[in-house]
Amino acid sequence: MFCDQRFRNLKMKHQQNRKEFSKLIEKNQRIIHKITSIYCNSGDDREDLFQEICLQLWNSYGSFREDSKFSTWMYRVALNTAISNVRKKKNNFSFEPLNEYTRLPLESDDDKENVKLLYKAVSMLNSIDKAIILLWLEEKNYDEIASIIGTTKSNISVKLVRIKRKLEEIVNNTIKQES
Amino acid sequence: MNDNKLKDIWSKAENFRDTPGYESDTIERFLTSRSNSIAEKITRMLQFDIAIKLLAAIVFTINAILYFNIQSIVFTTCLSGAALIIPFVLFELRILRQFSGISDYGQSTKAKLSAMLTFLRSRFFIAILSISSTNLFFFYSGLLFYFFIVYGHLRQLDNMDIFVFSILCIIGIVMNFVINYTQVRYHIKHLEACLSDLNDSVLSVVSINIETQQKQDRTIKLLLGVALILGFVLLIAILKKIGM
Repeated sequence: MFCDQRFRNLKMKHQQNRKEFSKLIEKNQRIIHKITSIYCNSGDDREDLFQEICLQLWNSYGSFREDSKFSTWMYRVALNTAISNVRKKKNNFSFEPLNEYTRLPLESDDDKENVKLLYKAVSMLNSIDKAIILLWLEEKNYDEIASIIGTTKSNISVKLVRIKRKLEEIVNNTIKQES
Repeated sequence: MNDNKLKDIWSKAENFRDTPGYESDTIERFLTSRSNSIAEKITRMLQFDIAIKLLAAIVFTINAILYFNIQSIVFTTCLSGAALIIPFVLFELRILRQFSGISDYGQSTKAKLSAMLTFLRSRFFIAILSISSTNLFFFYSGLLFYFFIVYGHLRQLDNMDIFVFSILCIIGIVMNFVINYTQVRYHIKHLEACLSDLNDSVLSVVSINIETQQKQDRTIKLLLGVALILGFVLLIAILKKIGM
């Protein structure tokens, strides 16, 4: 009798935690969307990865220590999930920027082209480089990037120089090919 | 393209991103869904195998009761079979426990990838060997049970019967091993590529760890191999003895 009650209480607490956690993810979901958008090409793959990241965040929630920022921990789990998520690569890059539910801001065509070009260039990087450049673009400092990736600050700074050079090369080549 | 320009484009990207904006109810549903990660697949693979091995142990025990007054040699074999399964199950439970620590996604990328690679390249190989052995136990226990239901005893077997049973059993073990190994091979290559992209020296450090682990596991590998071969030879010997 007592065990049943205790089990029911634990179950209820677990469900409550899940609800609270879902709300926390809802608030911070743009982090996950940014990651899925650079690791997946199609909408279906992005949704699958989003789901997988949510699940891994929930499973790893026990390992979250209050001394680090929630967003840093979230980047770490989400990036680890995206990097470990092995799928056979599709050859074609497709950028599906808008759907009927997306609010259309009054941006110029140039901006749209630049975004498309940046995504195309980032999609050509390897999984680790994608993670590093994403964290840098998200205004994370070198210490935070190094802590998430698990390497030294100097290694990150060397890598970033190379990645930016690579991105520039890809962008220039694409522009040349298109013109 | 300078740094500011890159960051500026990135900040504008949010406006063009195809983001559905999930409600918390949908996210809550995601939390109860089934994971497709390799870690989850390996966990499920081990859990399923432990369940099948335990089922084989139960069938062996039932066989031992059924054959108790009929064929004492089969009775002894069944008890030995059930007893032989126990160390395999304990070993797989240990692997499962170790793996749950490795599969935590809250570590740094380097730690996560290194731990996964070390596990897959050293420990998982022995785990697959242990998983493959299930075929032998399951086939053997099932065969004895089948013979009891159909004939009421272990019927006489000719050389052709023994040959066919042995081949079926070997094919089962080899297929199981190859399928499981192929599943993780692609993942191992991906992890190696990622670690090499991270830093060239990381992969060499991981390789040293793997070598140390493999040296430590050599005894377990040897024992598992001996147990598998012994089990197989025992099966043939019993079937042949009864068949002659």
